[in-house]
Amino acid sequence: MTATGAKTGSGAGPQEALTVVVADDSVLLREGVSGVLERFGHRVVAAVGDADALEEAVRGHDPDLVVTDVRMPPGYADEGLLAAVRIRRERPAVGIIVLSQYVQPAYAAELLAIDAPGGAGYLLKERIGDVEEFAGAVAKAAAGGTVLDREVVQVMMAARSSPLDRLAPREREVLGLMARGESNAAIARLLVVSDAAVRKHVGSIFTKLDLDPRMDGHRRVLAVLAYLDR
Amino acid sequence: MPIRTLRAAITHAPHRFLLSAWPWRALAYLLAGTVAGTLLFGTAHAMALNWPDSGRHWRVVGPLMGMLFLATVFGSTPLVVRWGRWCEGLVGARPEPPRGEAASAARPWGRPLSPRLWRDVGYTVLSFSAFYVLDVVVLLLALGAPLAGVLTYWNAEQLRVFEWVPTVLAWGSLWLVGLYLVAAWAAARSEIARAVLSPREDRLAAELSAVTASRAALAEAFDDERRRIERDLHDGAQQRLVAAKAALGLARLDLPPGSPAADAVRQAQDHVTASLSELRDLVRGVHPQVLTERGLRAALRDAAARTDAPVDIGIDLPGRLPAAVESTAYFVVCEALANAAKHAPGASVRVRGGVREGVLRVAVTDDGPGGAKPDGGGLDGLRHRLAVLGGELAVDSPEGGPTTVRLEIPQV
Repeated sequence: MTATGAKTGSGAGPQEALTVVVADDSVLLREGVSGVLERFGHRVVAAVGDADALEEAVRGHDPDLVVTDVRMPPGYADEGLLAAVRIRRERPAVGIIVLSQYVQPAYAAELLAIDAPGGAGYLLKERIGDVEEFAGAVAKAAAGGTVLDREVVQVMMAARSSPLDRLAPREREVLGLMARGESNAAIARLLVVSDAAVRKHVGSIFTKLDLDPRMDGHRRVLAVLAYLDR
Repeated sequence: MPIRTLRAAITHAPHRFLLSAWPWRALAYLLAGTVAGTLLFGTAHAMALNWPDSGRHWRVVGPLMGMLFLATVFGSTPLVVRWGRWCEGLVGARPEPPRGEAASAARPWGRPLSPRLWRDVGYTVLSFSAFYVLDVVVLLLALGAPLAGVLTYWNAEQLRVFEWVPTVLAWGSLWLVGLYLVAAWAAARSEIARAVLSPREDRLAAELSAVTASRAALAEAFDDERRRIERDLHDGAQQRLVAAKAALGLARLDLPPGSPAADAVRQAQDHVTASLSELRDLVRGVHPQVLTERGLRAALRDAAARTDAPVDIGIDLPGRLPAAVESTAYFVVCEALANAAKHAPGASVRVRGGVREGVLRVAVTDDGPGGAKPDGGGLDGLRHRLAVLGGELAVDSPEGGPTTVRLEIPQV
């Protein structure tokens, strides 16, 4: 589990019960998200249908985590994302997961551009059906980590093939996982290699792409995204 | 086929003509046509009669009267023309008054003389001269002659009854012939009046602008429909599939791992996942969400990111553009990107665009082998969409490359 800038006092782990505010204009999906969260022992303190109600609920309940849709009333555009960005500014410690039927790199960058200790996640809505994976993302975001949908990363990696040609295949793999918000330890586990090997790859990537190797957590993700989006 | 003009009524259905409203319309048309002339000549006549010592000063008064007469004709042009248009409505479709710059004829004073003004003055002179004379002659011939005949023999005592009845009936039936005469002259008069009042090029221009407007409305409806489909899928099928996937995911937690039931649920979940992925691709082709939410620049970056070829994109826009412009430009660039990926695999693509002086210009260039047909495939349909917005598409693809697709949309 990535734990950079973890919320002080919460010490959230996968088993920790979190208070969550859920926002989605569809009752069906509010119930779906709440059902999965409750199944993993979290407490949904408010389930609302628009961005204003979301911000109000966050002020009223001071939750550990917010799970919000992007497209909500009144404009059915990006109200949810804008609310998430405002919440992140006003309450930097609250973890936020933004869900959407479609993912776009630009949204991820906007969410992560705010330097806050609280965790942030940007996932395709259907990931709530991969319940264990979603529970993991929830725990990670609540603990201050960063979770990016693999499709965002895939799209960006695919598009930026030419500058990434400098990277070895294994390094590209590592870069993809870094962009998704995985820590060095998690990458080592996923690729079944040693921590030291991952550190070596990461160092080599940062050197080749001219990035600052001291960055960690969502700042590292942001740097990688910014690089990919160049 | 419904009959909409007097001319059609006489030529297509002469046998039913007398039973229709057309003879009366024709009659009303001619009577209305004489109103202006009767007013003018009546007034002139009355003034000439009542002028003090008109006989003695005729050399002075005559030219003065003439000038006054001309000034009246000229000054009454707007009124006469409007009245003339209204009259035309009695025997067919009312000619549309000219719009915009050409509308100066409605107020001849204080405006430079336009060809239209001369036409309107011509119409006025015509309706005070030839039209007036012929209207009166035709009305007198067609209605007055039978009337005179009927009146003459009505009280003719020298005729016996069996002579009197057919004589009066024969004169009376001349009214029916007279109605045909009235209609024939009315139709001819209307043809001439229309030719003068609303010449062919004006009518064509009016039709063209109507067609252009309806085409734009169609294109807009098409765009609205695409957005509606996207919204319906987003609010309907996609949500249900996501909810189904979540329900299946929760169900799987309760099943012993590796059991046949757990495997079946996992398979069901995989199918749902695949459907969702297909739906996303479908929606992206119909009307991508990012275009609605964030506009052209973000949508093009998204499209570029999803293209196989490496795309270098530089779009500089002042803000959001009209929805129709955004979606048209988006689909043209997507088609160009797809063509580049298909016909020039491995080539790198550059997209450059921006708005300058109210014109959106986007160029998509690939360094492939070139030789692309300028009107191939999907670009043809997009040319029509561009044309609706007054835009243009140019494809430049010399053998050996590079290939450039340029689009221009004015009045952004």
